Amino acid sequence: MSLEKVLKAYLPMTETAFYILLSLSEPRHGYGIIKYVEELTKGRIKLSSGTVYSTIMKLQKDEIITVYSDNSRKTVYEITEIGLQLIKTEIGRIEKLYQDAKSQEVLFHE
Amino acid sequence: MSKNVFKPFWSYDVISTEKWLSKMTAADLILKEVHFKSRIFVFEEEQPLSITYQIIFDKGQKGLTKTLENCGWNITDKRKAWSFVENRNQEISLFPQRESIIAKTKNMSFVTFILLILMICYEIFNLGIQLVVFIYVRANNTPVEYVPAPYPILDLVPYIFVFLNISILTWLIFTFIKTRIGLKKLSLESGFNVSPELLGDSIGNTIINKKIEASEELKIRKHLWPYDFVQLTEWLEHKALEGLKLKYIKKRFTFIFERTRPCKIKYFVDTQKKVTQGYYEIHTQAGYNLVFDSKILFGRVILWSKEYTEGSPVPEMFNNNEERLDCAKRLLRNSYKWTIYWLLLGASQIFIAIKSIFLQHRIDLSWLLILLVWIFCIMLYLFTLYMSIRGYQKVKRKIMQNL
Repeated sequence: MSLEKVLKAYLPMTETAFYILLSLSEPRHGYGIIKYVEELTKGRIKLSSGTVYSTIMKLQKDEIITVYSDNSRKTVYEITEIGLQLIKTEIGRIEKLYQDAKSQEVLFHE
Repeated sequence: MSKNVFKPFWSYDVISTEKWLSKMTAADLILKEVHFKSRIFVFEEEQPLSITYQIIFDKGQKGLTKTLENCGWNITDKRKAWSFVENRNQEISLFPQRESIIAKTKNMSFVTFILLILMICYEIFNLGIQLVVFIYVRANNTPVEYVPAPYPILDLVPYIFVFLNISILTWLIFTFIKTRIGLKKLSLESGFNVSPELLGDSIGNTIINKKIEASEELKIRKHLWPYDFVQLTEWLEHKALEGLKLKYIKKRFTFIFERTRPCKIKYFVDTQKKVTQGYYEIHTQAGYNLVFDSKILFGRVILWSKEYTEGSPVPEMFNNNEERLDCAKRLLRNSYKWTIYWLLLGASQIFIAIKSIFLQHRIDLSWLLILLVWIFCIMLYLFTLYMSIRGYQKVKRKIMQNL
């Protein structure tokens, strides 16, 4: 899948896909992703294994992540170049969203 | 100095081929290229080295990623989707994934299995006809006259035919056995079952812990469970509260329980279009216990369990209802994906029956019999479909109630 098509299909990203990509700053196991997201969000988000697997399969199919085996032949996931572009674009979009929200926040306070 | 080795069936069992290539390095022979069409491996003599080889099947032909190259992997030879890669490092942190090669081997094994069945049917039919003719001739004492062929070379045709028949049959049996061995090795390497539909319960469910004392065992047969997963999971959860923990399901319909202390266990039924090694890893690492994984009726059904304690959150395999419903839909799809096949088969039978009525002004009895068998099958199929839809509606209602 080309970058253009990926951006069109994935933006805005679901919370699950966003956090999975965010956790893949380095290659991780499937369960490693779950634990990392839990630590990163201080327990706010606890991804279920079924949800992570379904999302990983979709991301892998669209060449956003790739898969390897480690030295004990366990599956390891890594973000691809397309995935990197996608997460950067999404972070930029969320940043703008955050700036807009902050600038208007005062209007919602009495 | 170079050495050529002919290895015609290298792709059936890739782990053996990889080990053989590594062994060749011990004899100072390093793989230089592979002539894929002639199946000849070209080796060159070099200083003794420890080389790890891996065979890759990559439909997309994307080649090695930068990460793998940084880990020391290099392509030795490549043709279309097949690649031979090597790594000369002593310690390797990452390996190319096995998913594609597993899928390819499974595919080869399945196609061979179908061809083998067709071939065996053909042989039985062929031998049957010859046997009938032989018995008829012997019973009636019919004189048999040998008529020489117009050209003597034509006398060889039956022998050539028999030779070809035996060769094809032998090749199919060999391919099937070799690919099955290849799949078993891939299963053992990963520690997970890669193909339950091909390998069957005995080898397929290797990761399911079946150790259980006979005195602590309880068997319950349950036949209609693949149609009502809500009823199944609730029944199993209730059994756990009574102190009966499901260990595994024998021959698809016998539930083997282990007597333990009463406990809380949550059961999940799942099915996936693509089940990879990563699927088992993520669930087992998340604390789930695999109790069943096999092809049943029309699709693959995987049953997981997870024990939890009073007061702790109830385990959930999916984060939201949309995904829970998607899973129920996948299970339902297993049941109705054969509808078109049944309808086409039935339509063709009706067409032939009608054609025979119009052309011959009578119904051929054999076709009528086939039609009746088809009607019986479709009734059975519609019954299972109805049960599956009812089961899906039940899951949907349960999800809605939990909203």
